[in-house]
Amino acid sequence: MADDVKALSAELARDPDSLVFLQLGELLRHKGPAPEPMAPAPAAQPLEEARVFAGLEGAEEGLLLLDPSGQVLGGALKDPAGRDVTDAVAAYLAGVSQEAGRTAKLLGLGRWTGLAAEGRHGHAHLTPPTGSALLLVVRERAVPMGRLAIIAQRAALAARRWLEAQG
Amino acid sequence: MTTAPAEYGRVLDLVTRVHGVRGAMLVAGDDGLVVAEQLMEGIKGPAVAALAASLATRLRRALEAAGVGAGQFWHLQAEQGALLVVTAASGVLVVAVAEPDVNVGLVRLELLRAAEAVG
Repeated sequence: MADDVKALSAELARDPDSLVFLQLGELLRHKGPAPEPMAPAPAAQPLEEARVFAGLEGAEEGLLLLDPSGQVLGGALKDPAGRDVTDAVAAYLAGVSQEAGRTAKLLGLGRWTGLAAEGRHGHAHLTPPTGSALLLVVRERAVPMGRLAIIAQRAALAARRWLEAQG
Repeated sequence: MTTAPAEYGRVLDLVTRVHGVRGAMLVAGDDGLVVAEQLMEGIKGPAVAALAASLATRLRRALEAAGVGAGQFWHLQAEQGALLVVTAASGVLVVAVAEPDVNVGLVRLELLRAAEAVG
């Protein structure tokens, strides 16, 4: 039947005024309804949930999750001019987690839990959401350091959940 | 204003007099060498100085890249204490090692005063 359909279709293409369209229509009616187009595979989770910091303030401009080698796992950073500085900052932060850990250990301070930094134009807070990953939160200077620590705690919780979900 | 080396002890006193501070150091920011120190026994000054300078350099570069500007003060928090650092205009780091329950705001103020005195 497929060959007949193909032949009639070819004939119709050669002569659009031909009455073969009637035969073709009859054949297709007997063939039954066309199969449903293949539905796209459902995503493992909605796009919003797939993002590390979905729903958190500054998720695309002031939150960054990195692996120990400085590779970006999620989030993004923009400078005050709106330029994307994600990769540059991530590269400079490679190894910071290990160095902070070594410093704390050398001083007998136990596990490091955070690193708050005050710059001329803004504040930053680093925290290790898991043993090896590093989370950076950056905000303008108007945001007090204490509030930044709270934002960092929430973001760290989201990052831990996301990292666990990634396996 | 730049403080003469003989005055470094007085500058460090500003920091160590704060309750909960276990010691203070002046560290050359570019090479991580100890300039002066007042540390409790058991704290390895030269090693801490080297790591603090290295961490300060990495942080400065990262903060500048992020548009936050050069770091003026940073505070490493750990389960059993903290390391607090202010960079003086000359690049010298004023470092404090503190107990976990220290008044961070007060230490920060004294570190800033010490950094101003160091110049």
